[in-house]
Amino acid sequence: MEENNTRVGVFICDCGMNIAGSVDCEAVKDVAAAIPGVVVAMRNKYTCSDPGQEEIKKHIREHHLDRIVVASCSPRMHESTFRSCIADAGMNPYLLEMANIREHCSWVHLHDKPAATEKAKDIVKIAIAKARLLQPIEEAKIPVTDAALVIGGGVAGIQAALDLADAGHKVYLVEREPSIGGVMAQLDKTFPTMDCSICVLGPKMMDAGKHPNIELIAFSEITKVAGYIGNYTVVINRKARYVNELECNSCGKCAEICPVTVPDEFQQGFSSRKAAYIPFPQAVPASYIIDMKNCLGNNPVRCNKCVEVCEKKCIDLNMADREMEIKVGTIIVCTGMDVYDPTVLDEYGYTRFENVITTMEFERLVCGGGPTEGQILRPTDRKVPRRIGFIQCVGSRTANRGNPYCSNVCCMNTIKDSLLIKEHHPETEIFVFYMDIRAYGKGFEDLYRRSKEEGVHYIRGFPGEVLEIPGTKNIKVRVENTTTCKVEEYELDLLVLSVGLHQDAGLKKLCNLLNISLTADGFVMEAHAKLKPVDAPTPGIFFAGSVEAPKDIKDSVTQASAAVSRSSIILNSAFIKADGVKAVVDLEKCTSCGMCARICPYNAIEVDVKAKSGARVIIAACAGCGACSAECRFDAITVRHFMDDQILSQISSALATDPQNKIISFLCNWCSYAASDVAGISRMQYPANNRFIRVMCSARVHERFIWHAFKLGAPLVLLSGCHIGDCHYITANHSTQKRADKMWDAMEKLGIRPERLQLEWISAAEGPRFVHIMKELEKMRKAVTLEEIEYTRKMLSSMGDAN
Amino acid sequence: MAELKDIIRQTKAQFCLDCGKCTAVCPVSRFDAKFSPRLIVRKALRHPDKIYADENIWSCIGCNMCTVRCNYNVSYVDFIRYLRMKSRENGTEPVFSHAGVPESFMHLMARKETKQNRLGWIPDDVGIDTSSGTAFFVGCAPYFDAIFQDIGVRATDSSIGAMRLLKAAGISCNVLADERCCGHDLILSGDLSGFLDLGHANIEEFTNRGIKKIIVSCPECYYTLKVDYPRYFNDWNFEVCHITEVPEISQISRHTDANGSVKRKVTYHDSCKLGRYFKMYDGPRNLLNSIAGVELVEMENNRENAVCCGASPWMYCGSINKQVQDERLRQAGSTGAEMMVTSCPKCQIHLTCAQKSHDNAAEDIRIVDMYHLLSQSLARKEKD
Repeated sequence: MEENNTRVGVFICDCGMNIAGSVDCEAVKDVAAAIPGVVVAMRNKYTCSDPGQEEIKKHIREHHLDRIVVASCSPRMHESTFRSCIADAGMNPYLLEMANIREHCSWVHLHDKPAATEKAKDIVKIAIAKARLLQPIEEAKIPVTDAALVIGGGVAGIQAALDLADAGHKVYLVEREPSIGGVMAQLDKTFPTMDCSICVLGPKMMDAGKHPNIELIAFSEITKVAGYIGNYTVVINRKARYVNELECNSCGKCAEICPVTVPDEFQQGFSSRKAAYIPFPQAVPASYIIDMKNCLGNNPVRCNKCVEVCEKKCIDLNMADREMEIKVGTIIVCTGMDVYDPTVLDEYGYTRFENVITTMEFERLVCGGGPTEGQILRPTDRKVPRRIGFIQCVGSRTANRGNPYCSNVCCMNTIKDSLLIKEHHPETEIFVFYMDIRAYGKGFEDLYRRSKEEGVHYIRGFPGEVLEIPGTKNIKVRVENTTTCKVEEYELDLLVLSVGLHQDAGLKKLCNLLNISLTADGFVMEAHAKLKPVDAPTPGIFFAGSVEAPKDIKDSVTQASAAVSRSSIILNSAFIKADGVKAVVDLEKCTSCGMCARICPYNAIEVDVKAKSGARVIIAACAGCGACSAECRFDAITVRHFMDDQILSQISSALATDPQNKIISFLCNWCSYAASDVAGISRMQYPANNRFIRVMCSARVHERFIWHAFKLGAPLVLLSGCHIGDCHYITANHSTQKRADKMWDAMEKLGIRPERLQLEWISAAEGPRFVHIMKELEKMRKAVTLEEIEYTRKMLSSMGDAN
Repeated sequence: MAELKDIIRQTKAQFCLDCGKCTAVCPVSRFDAKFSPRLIVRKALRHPDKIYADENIWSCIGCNMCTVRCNYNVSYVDFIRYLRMKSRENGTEPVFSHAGVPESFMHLMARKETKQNRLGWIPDDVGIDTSSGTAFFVGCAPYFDAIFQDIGVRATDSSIGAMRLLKAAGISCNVLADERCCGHDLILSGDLSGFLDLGHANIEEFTNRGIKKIIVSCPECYYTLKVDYPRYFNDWNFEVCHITEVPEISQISRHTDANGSVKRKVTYHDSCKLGRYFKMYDGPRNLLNSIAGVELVEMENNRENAVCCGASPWMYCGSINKQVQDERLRQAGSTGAEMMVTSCPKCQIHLTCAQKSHDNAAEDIRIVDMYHLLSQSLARKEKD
């Protein structure tokens, strides 16, 4: 072993009576002072306070300390505080190790001072052992391209683009359709204000089209994304419009002369458009487009009328798709959602009965720019319907065809629709068939009340069956009014299905390109549901709007501005600093097998297996989980600040005395360690025989750590991490499961009881469960005999260095 | 017997959203304002002590329409079956129809000592192969013949038809001399011990005769042997197959009318079990279409939406059941078809009984069993 000349300073905190009340801090200090390498050990009443921190800085200077151990609360509490403190005194901030003698000791062993003190001594020794092996780490500076990509030009994308552009950043706004505007452009009015939707959106669309900082790339799709935070390279396919959008002045002559008529998707198929068309009057870009799928062909013998009649000569039927490459620092995904198609629910008769329509279709009927110029006429006879019904939750809140979640906006949308109908025709009878009315937002309950004031009937119950009356084509519904428990029948002129929302069909493909995950509901997954609602787990990617979950315009706009704010933190700096805990490769040992690259949840490792290039870690993309390091067969990759020798020294220190009475537990920073802290904060009591080793992710735990613990006489080892599916590092804990399976097989073959290695998934909230597990472990430990431990020690020692 | 909380979990009853779709589509609720599938579950969850005495639990006809429509596919029929079992355990005696005769003979069959003489209906030209490892199961059919002579329904016509089809397809089957009722009606009426007795007796018979595979045509027997027997009997390991699933059956060639097709309009009534439960809508229709000259027309409510035949497990049969049956007969009449084809002996019995008990000229449609019809078309072909 190398000479270790580090000079360690140990600062033991009383924390008032929080620690000193159940731990003999003086005794702990004395033990620490006697350890080789410890230059100074002292007690402090409140180490995190200003005077406490000043003490540390003073001692660093006076004693030329180069490694610091603070024995106090949880590192999740004050690690950053003390790192800043020692950095202030001129030390590298990563040369600090904390010994958690509060949440892990004094608070959970309140009634057994001797045991708590012994444990505290151990915890401090473990921290000192690691501290002596810590290395300084320089946080890498990652240059940032000051540009952003916004994918999707609905209201969320438009808002995000405008905010970014106004803040002075260059924005590429990519939209799949020929015009921006999204679903909002198709709505008539918005709740709860009853604003005209396109009137409000139109000016924003124009601003987005004109803004000097926004490059609007419409009718285009993303085909490739490479890079990492601050440095993305994106390839965009600009589909051919066959019209020069900069020259087109929207005269409309091409549409007039075009002989091809197809259903107009903007009008939900109620009216038609030509193959040469503009999506809607307020379209941005304000240019016509040739629908090449339906165009008769650009052979002059078949047609060519549009080209002939275009005065500005801006139609080019020989246009081809073009590719463009852009470089951006951040990406904001605002691709929106799609509307549920209720055809498969044949009990509702959609597409079988013409007078059954969806809310989206209703929106076009009632809209002034719609196929009936805003008159509410029903499809079969174009008469004004006198009795209109709405069925809520179509395709939502169900396991039986549709989606299990609530689509958020449908209740308010129907309330809005009911008021629009009453505005047009006050004598119309309106029946809303619902399960719950969710009017949770600002002004929502008021709108609901207004609707009831206007005499709209709300009937709690869903129709089981919808029938068409031959002749009149009226619609009959049978419904149990669950408030009166009576089955009722209603004859309606028009039935509107309030359909739910779901992910857009192209989302999966986009997410693969961006390497972001979807939740079970099919929407994008946030980094943290509560505290990071617009961040993707992959750094540098954000989202806003209904791509994240169905939501209304206000929430979409709010999220867009939030995403811009998060994005600006990156774009506003020329450089961003990467956290120091990163994977690092030893190229001499690396065989370019590619295992690390395969296991990395962030695609942060590049290896050319054929060329034997050696693994290369993309610092900016690496999250520091350590899955690569535990997977590597050649010890060629490790994680700074959680290196093998550091962790092994912690285990050795923990088991130096009385190993047979100790349980070694590996806790992951984000979940199981957090749970252990919660248990401490709640003052839940459990046996004092456990020694915790903190790792960032359970996937970091190499088999050799566990063999080492058994070799040194540990009766029991706990491996714990986040629940599968909740891993902070996306999928890293899957490799933990695989490793545990392998270990159990190996243990069995060696004659070691596999139950001596326990695997538990514990979430950050599960403090009580953590305590229960600690108690169970102690029971299990007592059942491990000295003979077993001795047998294991001999067996593993004779095998030499395990794995 | 299982606990109420286990049943709640198994049937997913706690997921009920109280949306009322089940009640809106329930054929019984249509005519009985007091009945609502979801209310039964609600009452059971809130007042488990009172529910077993509630008379509404006997009104369900088990058509499964509620479960199919329900957002969470809550299994109301299983729930009600459990409530009936518990209720009978507590001493409730349901009111049996047809003077309790069907229930009585099912109990007779449940006795191990009972020796039956039940193969007399099998024609000589059909015959059985006593060495075969495949059995064609007929259950109660011979007994129904005796009871429903007055309405002119012979359940064994269906069995004979099915056996002729199997013979023509080259499949040789045994028909067991001492098989018993499958127990569907007993368990649906809450008589768990009667069902278990029948099951044990059947298993013994199958085992003793060396049976490996069982073919059935009755949808209720099919459901009971396929779903309930594995659920309740650990020693059940026989293969169960519905006759329309046998590949050779669908390949039976058609009958061609010598003077070109004489179009006969028929309409097909989906049995609740074969239809909504097992989703076998196309098999029977394909077979019917294979009879040349048949024009298949659909009733207003067909396939998944088909109206139940109003069957009850021989108890509390009353005006509600009759109204459900009338609805179905009316729909059949509206198609203009000359016959309504059934694939379940119960459907045929119940609909015919309803037809015969009214004076409705419009409902003068012939109610014919599918296998009987198919086998007749076969016979004609052979004559050619």
